[in-house]
Order: sequence, then C-alpha cells, then structure tokens
Amino acid sequence: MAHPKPAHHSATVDERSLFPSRPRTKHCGTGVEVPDPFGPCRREAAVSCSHKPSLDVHRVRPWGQVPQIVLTQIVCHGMLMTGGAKRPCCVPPDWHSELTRLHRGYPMTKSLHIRVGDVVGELHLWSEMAPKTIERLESSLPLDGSLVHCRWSGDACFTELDPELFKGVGLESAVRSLYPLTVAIRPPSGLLNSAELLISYGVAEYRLPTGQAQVTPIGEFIGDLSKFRDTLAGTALRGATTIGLRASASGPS
Amino acid sequence: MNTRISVQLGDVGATLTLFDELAPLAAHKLLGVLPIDAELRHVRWSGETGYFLLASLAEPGAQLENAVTFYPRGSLIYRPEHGEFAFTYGQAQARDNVKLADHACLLGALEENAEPFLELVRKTRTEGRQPLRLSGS
Repeated sequence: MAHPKPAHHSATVDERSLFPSRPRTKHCGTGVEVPDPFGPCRREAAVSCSHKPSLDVHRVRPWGQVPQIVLTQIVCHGMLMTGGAKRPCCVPPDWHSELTRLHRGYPMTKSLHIRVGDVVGELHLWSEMAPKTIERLESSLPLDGSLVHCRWSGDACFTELDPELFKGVGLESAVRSLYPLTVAIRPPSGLLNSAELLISYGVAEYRLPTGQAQVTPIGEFIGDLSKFRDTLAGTALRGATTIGLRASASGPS
Repeated sequence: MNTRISVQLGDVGATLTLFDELAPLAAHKLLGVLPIDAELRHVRWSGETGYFLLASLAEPGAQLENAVTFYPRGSLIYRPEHGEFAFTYGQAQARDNVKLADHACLLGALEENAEPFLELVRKTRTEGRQPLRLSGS
C-alpha cells in the first residue's frame, strides 16, 4: 500500500505563525522547519508502528529558559502532526500517553513516586519553575493524605498540606489554569492560612469563593494517564480517595 | 400559599417549601414531574452545594424568576439552562467553567429537618453521591 505524500507544509505554516521572529533551520531530515536558537529538535522516542521505518516522535523546544510550549511532532511516512492532534493511521493505541508524556516537556530534573487510590506513577517535577516550592515539598515527604474533589475550581482534586512548610515561599511561575494531569501547589498567603496540592483531570481553573486565584505549577503525572484521570474524575461521584507522595530513590526515569 | 414537598436524601428526610409566588413557573414545572428519583452529587464550580439534573426541565434561554447569584444556605436552586437543581449547605454562587458569576432561580428552602439533610449534602463531597427522592407531601 502506498503511503501518502508527506504533509509537512501545514505544520510548517503553523509554526511560523506562532513564532514569526525566530530564525529557522531544517532538521532531522524530515523537511520540517522549527525555531532555532534553541537547537534543532531531537528525536525523543520511537513508537512501534506497523510501517517501517516506524514512527518517530520529535520534540521541539521553541522558547528559552522556561519553555511555555513544546511541540511534539509525529513523523510517520509523511504524516506529521503536533501533539494532541488527530491520530495518524499507524500510531499504536497508546500514542496519546506517549505524546502526553513528551508534549508538555517542561525541564524535569527530579521526580517523586505518586499514588492516587490504587494508581501509581511518577510525578516529574519542574524544579526550574518552582525551586523553593519543590524544595519545601520534598522536605515534607513522605506525604499521605485524603484527595478530595474541588468545589470551586472545576475538574480538579486537592489535598491539604501543612501551611507552615510553605510560609514565606509565595507563588513561583504563577498560573491560573490547571492543565490536565499537572500538579500545583497553592501556598498560604494573606488571609488564606492553608496550603493545597492540586491535580487537575479536565477543565479547571484555580478559584476561591472570592474569584480567580493563582497557584504554583510543580510538575506532571507520568504513568497510566487514562487510569489516573478516571481515578481523579471518580472522586466527583464516589467521594474522596487517598494520595501518597514518596521520594524517588532511583531519580527520574 | 407556598407548596411543601418531601425530600429524602439517603436515609434523611426533610420538607421543602417551594416559593410559588416568587417563582411560579419554575415551581409549577417541578411539581409537574413529581415524584423524582435522582442522585445528588457535589458541584465542581459553584461551591458548597449538591446538585442533580433533570433533563426534562432543561430550558436554555428561559426567563429567570426570583434570580440570585449567591445561593442562601438551605435553599433549593434551579438553573433552567442545565435543568439543574441544587441544595446549598454553605457558601455558594452560580458559576460554571465559563462564568465566574451567573444567576439562578431561588426556588425554595428546606424547613423541617434541614440540618441533618444539609450535613448529608456536605458529605457527598467526601463520601460520594446519594440517592434522592422528591415527592408531594
């Protein structure tokens, strides 16, 4: 069966509109242009594919010290896609997990073991974005608690943390939106003497009774994403579940 | 004269007064579909409130009667755009993923045995959904 001609042009146009001022370079032999000076994209993974020579996943880090967007591209016999887009014909069923893992791509230097209900995985920490918050969190380990669904913030769950640990830390790389399967901490501030660790599984925005508020994003869940998402979503119907965080002896994988 | 109906949440019963004069259309619609068997679950955006949906009473664009944005504790709230009915046990406001402040119809208030009922609504957050039955008293 003949494979379709590479559909690289549309993706190239998209990137140009996103980053019009960046110099560009060709790379990886795919004919795709990506922003430089942060270097050419590199091959991050090869996902098994019924076609040979298989499917390559490339990660492109277009922005500088704190990347805000990482484009993940699938190149498979001419099919090029960005992360989260429609599925090409020969991508295996677990493509979304693989893509999601590569898709966000904030710099990860540490990881923790995380367990929610009976789902275990890794919490990859974005130490460059929240160094003080992560340091305090690590000092509080091991952590065990009850994970409850949010009342004001949408599709997210939270557990209470010891506010004394996070006093004086303040917000780091503060955000309002809680993207699915990212983990964030809201430190105590002003009249709010409590601290929370939040995990989103869908459409969520950090809110208080007084309105929108901000949190410090600290990392993302890596593991069985669909099972993790189902467990988090299940708290809306079935009530609270448990959460545990442990230091990772082996470091990030 | 305000109509009273019975509500049963889990094993806790209570009575509810509908505000017929302030929200006559909404009250009439609700009375027209009694008895109702549903499941009460906790809201995700609006605060300290449990809710259930009645698709048959969803009416996007319907005029709001007795409109409020903040839900009084112990009240029954009706959001016609979703066919949503909510019991409030604490601080709450009409919100969703798009709107930080919306409006809803203040349709009724719990009377007899309100406190045990609201305590069970509060527990839906940590213990999960509860079966709910509304019927004429």
